Amino acid sequence: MSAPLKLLGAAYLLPDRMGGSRCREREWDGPADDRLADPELIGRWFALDAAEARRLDRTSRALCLAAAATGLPGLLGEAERLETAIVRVTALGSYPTDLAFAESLEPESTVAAGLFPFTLPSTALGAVAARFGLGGPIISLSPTAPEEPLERQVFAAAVPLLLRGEARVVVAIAGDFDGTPRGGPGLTLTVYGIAR
Amino acid sequence: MNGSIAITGAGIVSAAGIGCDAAAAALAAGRSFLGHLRRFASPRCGALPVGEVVELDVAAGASRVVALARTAASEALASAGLPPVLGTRGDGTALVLGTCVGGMPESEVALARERSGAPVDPGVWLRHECGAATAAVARAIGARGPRLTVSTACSSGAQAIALAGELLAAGECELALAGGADALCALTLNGFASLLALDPAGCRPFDRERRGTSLGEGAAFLALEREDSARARGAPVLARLLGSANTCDAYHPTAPDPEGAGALRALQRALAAAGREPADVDYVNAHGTGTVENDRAEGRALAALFRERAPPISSTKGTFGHALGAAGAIEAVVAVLALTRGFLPGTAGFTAADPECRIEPLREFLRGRPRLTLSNSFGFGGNNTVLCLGAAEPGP
Repeated sequence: MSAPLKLLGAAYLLPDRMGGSRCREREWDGPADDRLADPELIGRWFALDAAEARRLDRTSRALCLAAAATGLPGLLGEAERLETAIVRVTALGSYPTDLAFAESLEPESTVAAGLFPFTLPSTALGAVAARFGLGGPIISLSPTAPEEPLERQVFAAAVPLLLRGEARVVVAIAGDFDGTPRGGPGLTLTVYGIAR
Repeated sequence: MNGSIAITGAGIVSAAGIGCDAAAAALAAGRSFLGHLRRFASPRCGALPVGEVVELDVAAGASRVVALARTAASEALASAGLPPVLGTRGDGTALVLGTCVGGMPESEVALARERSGAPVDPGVWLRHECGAATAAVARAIGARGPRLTVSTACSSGAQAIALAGELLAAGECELALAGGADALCALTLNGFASLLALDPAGCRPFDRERRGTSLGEGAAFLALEREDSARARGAPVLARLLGSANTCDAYHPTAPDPEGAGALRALQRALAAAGREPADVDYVNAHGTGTVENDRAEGRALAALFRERAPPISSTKGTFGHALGAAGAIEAVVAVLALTRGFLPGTAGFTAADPECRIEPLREFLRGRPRLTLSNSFGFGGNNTVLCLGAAEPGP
């Protein structure tokens, strides 16, 4: 590596708590008080109307929340935002949303048209980009080796974007928050903002 | 990406058949290869035209995406003068695959069996994840270098090729097989239908009456090498990857920026990475899905880039259908065929220009000598990937 990199912020999201460099650790109240499922609350957090917030899937809401918790959006000027990439390494991708959409295809169900675009893992990254005005490359990757930490894998993909000058800042996201359409145990989502 | 990468092999499987010759003949014929869905029943969408690969033999329970990818990768290796299973060269060979659905076609069958109480092979769930397809193809061809799986919606295949170029430029591999593969499945067919994004009359890119895309399936791969290693083994160079760029609209999770601002930035950056100007471009293979919003946004981006001096532009999705994660790779192979065989593809399905798009695509197949092409691939999430591909020899 030829140039030192700066860590601008970091955040984590777990099924029972979240925290980040720009927010105090908070506990969730558990599945009965699932804040990510509440479009009114999500709308207030991100200055969206509830209808717009409702159109995001849970993964998108989780990624927006984690990106906000890094504090990056407040640190970046408009020019930097246009040069900010998002890279994610995810084992599950959009699997929870895939299942929810597939369930809606059952003969007696109504097709959940609004969910369909989120059955592609990059759509959730697009939601983060749209939310915070990030115009650099978006890359969603599957893990290359199950035994290698996802953080190492996402940094391996993110750092070259900075070194080649394709981005001034990278939001590097490792892992998954949901294991099923209704949440899952033991999953970790971590987000790092890095720059040259 | 900066710096030229040699393209020494190409392979493609599409609705028109298996192989580059079938694809080139389909483009020369100028007709659509869309037809009725045969492989599975779809009560809601069975009447919609699709670009299905009918020649491919896939063993029961085996992954259709892997079968498509292996077939295209084999052709790419053969045309690069390489054996179907790489020996010692496999250590320095990367495999980069773009896919959206991964093992979903088989998972859907397994889910239906599970619901009906029938036994299910648990291995199907291990093959569901997109990366499993990459691992299977890498094993099959003996690629033991870097292995990446890209899932960025409809730009996946193009982004896989761009990433492979970066791996080569960084010296992380000597040879890269890069492309995309996707198979038709109920999830995507019902999904696009539920968004009213499928045209019952078939995909009509940039046409005034267009009503949506037509889904397809297929795979395509390029064999990419650093110039020095291609030269060292005496490989014939088909074309060159001169530059690439990737941007995000940052506009909406699913809708494109109406003015195509993100796409325009990607076009400009790809040309800058290649050290070329808009006036140097001889042909653009547009993303051209046939949806009202996408074609309008892309047309505006192209019009803003080229102003009154647009080169021939066409979309080949009316011929093959929109193969999602494979589409960008299929269209990169089309661009390589245009450069090597000397033609400009037409736009099957197009009959009347839409002034809202601000461009008029090439209708008919033409013979020509393009030297520099752009291949556009855009996707949900606002992804915009542009590849800049040049002839093996720059020409006058």
